[in-house]
Amino acid sequence: MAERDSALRALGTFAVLSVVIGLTTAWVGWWSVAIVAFAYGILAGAWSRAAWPGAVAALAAMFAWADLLALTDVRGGDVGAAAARVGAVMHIPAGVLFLATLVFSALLAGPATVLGAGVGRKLRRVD
Amino acid sequence: MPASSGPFAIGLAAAVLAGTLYVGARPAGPLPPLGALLDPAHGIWRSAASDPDPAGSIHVPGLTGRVDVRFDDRGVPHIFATTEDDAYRALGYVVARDRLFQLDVQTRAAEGRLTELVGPAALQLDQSPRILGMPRAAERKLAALDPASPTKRALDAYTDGVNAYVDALKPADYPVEYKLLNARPARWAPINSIHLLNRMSWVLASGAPERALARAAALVGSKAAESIFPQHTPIQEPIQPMPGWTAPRDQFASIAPPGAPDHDMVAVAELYARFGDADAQPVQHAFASNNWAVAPKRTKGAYALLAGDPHLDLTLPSIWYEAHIVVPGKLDVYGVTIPGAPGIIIGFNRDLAWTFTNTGADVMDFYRETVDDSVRPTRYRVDGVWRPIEQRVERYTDQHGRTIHVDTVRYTHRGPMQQLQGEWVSTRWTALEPSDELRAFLDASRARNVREFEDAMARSFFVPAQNMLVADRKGAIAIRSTGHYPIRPDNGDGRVIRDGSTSASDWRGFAPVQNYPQSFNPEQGYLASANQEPQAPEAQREYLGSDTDYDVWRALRINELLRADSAVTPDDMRRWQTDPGSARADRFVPYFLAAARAQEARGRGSDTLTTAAKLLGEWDRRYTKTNERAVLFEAAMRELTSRTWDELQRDGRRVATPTDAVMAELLTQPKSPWWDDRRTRDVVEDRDDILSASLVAAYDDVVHEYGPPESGGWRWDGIRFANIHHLLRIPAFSALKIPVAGGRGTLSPSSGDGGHGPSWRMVVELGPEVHGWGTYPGGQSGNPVSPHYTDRLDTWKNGELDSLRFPRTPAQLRVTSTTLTLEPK
Repeated sequence: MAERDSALRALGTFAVLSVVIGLTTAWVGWWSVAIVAFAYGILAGAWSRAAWPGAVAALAAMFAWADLLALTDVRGGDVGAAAARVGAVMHIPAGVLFLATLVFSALLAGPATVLGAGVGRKLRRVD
Repeated sequence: MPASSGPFAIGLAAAVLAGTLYVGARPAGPLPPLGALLDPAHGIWRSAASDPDPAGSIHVPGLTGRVDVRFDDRGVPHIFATTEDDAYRALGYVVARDRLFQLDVQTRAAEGRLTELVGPAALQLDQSPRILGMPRAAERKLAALDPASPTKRALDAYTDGVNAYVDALKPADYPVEYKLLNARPARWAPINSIHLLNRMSWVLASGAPERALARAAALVGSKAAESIFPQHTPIQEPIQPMPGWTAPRDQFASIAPPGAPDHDMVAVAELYARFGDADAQPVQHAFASNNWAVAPKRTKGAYALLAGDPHLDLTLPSIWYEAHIVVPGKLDVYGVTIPGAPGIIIGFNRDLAWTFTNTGADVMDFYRETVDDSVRPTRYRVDGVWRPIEQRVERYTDQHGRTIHVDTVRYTHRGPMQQLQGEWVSTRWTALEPSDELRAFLDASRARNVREFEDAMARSFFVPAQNMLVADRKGAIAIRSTGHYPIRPDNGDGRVIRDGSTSASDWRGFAPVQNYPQSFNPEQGYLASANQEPQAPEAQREYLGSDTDYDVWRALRINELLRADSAVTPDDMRRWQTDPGSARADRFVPYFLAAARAQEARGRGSDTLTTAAKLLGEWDRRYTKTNERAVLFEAAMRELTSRTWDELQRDGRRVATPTDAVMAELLTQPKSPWWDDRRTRDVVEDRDDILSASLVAAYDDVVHEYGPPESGGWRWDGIRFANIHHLLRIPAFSALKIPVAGGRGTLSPSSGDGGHGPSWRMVVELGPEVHGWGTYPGGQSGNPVSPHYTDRLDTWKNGELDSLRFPRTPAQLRVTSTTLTLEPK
């Protein structure tokens, strides 16, 4: 039961984080991922005993950015064509361009969360 | 990351984050900032969104009333406005919406400001227009406009429209090219339209036949040079029909043999070295457009028909943008515009249709100036009196505004000066003179009949001289080669470099309109122009240009087709635009075959010659995609050209090449010394020796490159392609290796690197309702990911045309994909 609750909480955290990252990316821009992830890290370090918050944030960021790309496609865009054309300009396959985009978001979110978690833990000790 | 993060993990996380933020925010070498680029909501992925249009009304400054813009299923905007100014505002807006990057980069290219976008790599490209005085000329043309004139109003209105789009643009919606370049779009200015029109002049009216003549004379003497670069093309099929002519005429003269170099011309030839080797090809590719019109008495439907296909560099997006502009009671015109020009350039209204081919007039002359200082002149002398030289500093900056180069361009009253081989030479060019071509297009769009159209053009259109073909619903057809033709002193020949120290060298004025080559409702019932000489020599009252500016083969072919058909349909007109027949092949193949037979008879044959002649003889002389013999013929022609004109080489490179019409003339002189191959000192070759040797060498070359004839490697669609390059020549945004029919001299020629061809094809029937068909290779959108980027490519390459929608009201447009409502601000 406790494990199930823990899993649900983790899933919920992941979902919320993903949505927030997606929204802030759309409203503000790519660099907001680092800010959101840092804030999450503080919360995770201060109040949560979640393991691997950095990994959670990284995956959530990747999921958020993948969703944004999917949304463009669903709205009548052609993400595949864009990837093929722009990837060719950059001399990389379309798939690699997709991956690079998602990995970039993970490289913003994961380390920012780790740093935030470090701050959060200090706050917890202070408390 | 481990839950309990030690100093190492924290340090690593900090380093990774810092590095990611750094490459995200700053360019890394040639790459733009990755963060902005990869951002799924604002970066390159945003380009994948379907063409974004804001919902609701769009407020455009300067509008006086509402404008309704309906885009049809082909992406063509149908603009319904209440005033012409508003119509041009709307046109500026939609062109910016679809072609913003093109507007920017082509203006920069015309003005010489590409370095501000892409850096020092573009410096040489930028120097060319500036050294030729084009930006200065544009400033003067703009300053000369009356603020209340229709041209100025249209320029200002168009500017309002473009800037309304640019000002509302968010960085996320910048065209993908800006994101890749890490740049931003510039606001539009009225002068930009003039820069673009100037650039067309540069493309179409910067030929200077004196260059080829001088280079040839420096090698083989003036008499021989004038023979092989004659003023009049030796095969005549002029645009202006000649009384009594029912077929083209060969007007051959004896070609003077190569002689001793004319040493005076050596210096002159050196002067032209700065202008590049424009004579490497016999026919400049800019002169490859066609148009023809058929009077009702020779059409099946008893209505006038008009067809046009201007040939220009093929780009993505296309140089053309289709649009339809309606101002009830004043204007209702459909056609193609050049992005940046407020007006329809080629098209039709409810009464008539028009299109152009390039005349190839010689409108550029050179003068040797006498200056006070050979290094930094400040004065030049005319008629013994010193005049000040105007100096203009041209500064070139990079993307960051840093100065990377400075030029000082000097001007006499004739035009820009250049120092060439120690001499100062000025250039006078009609493209740099005051003119108002845009006014011509604005007026012509409202013309109701052929005469009104011609009058509108004659009043204001000066450069580049165009063979303007027009047909109206009353059944009239007409053509006039309209533009300013300089009247030169002495014998009027424009192929000499003149003495600038005397005003007697200057132009006397321009030819009157009545002297322009022209024809109205000719007895023959059709008119055609394909860049051939506009008038037969005996009809010319002015010097127009020379043989090197003209191409005769397409003219021969279209006239042949028109003569043979007295019940022409619109579909015939369409088919002829991609007709694979070749008058050039018809002329030269028999000579190759006869030469092979002659060599055999003389005992100089060979198995290779026999095989090559047999293969060539099998060809039907049509450049279809599946033909397997055109490759042999083209190789043979290249060999023939190289071997025949070997006297015209300097340092192993041919510096001037006579036209194939002159080659055809030489073919009738089998013992001419020109045939002698200089490499064979002990042998004096004649015509048949060279023809045969060319055929044998061609066969060997073709087998070496494409395999034996039965291998399938000779198929034309595996050899000849159209290559449509993106404006930045980004391969991924280009359409490359498109198999095409046609070759040198066919109505849809394809040669060289395949980057030049029919940029727009149009057929119009002038019946009770005007009906048009058209297409171009590309699409209305400049967004490489848009479905309208290359949606017309298949139609174009298959020689098909789309039916053009021409509604009188918005309600009549049955197929609407998008609606924009523009409101006053």
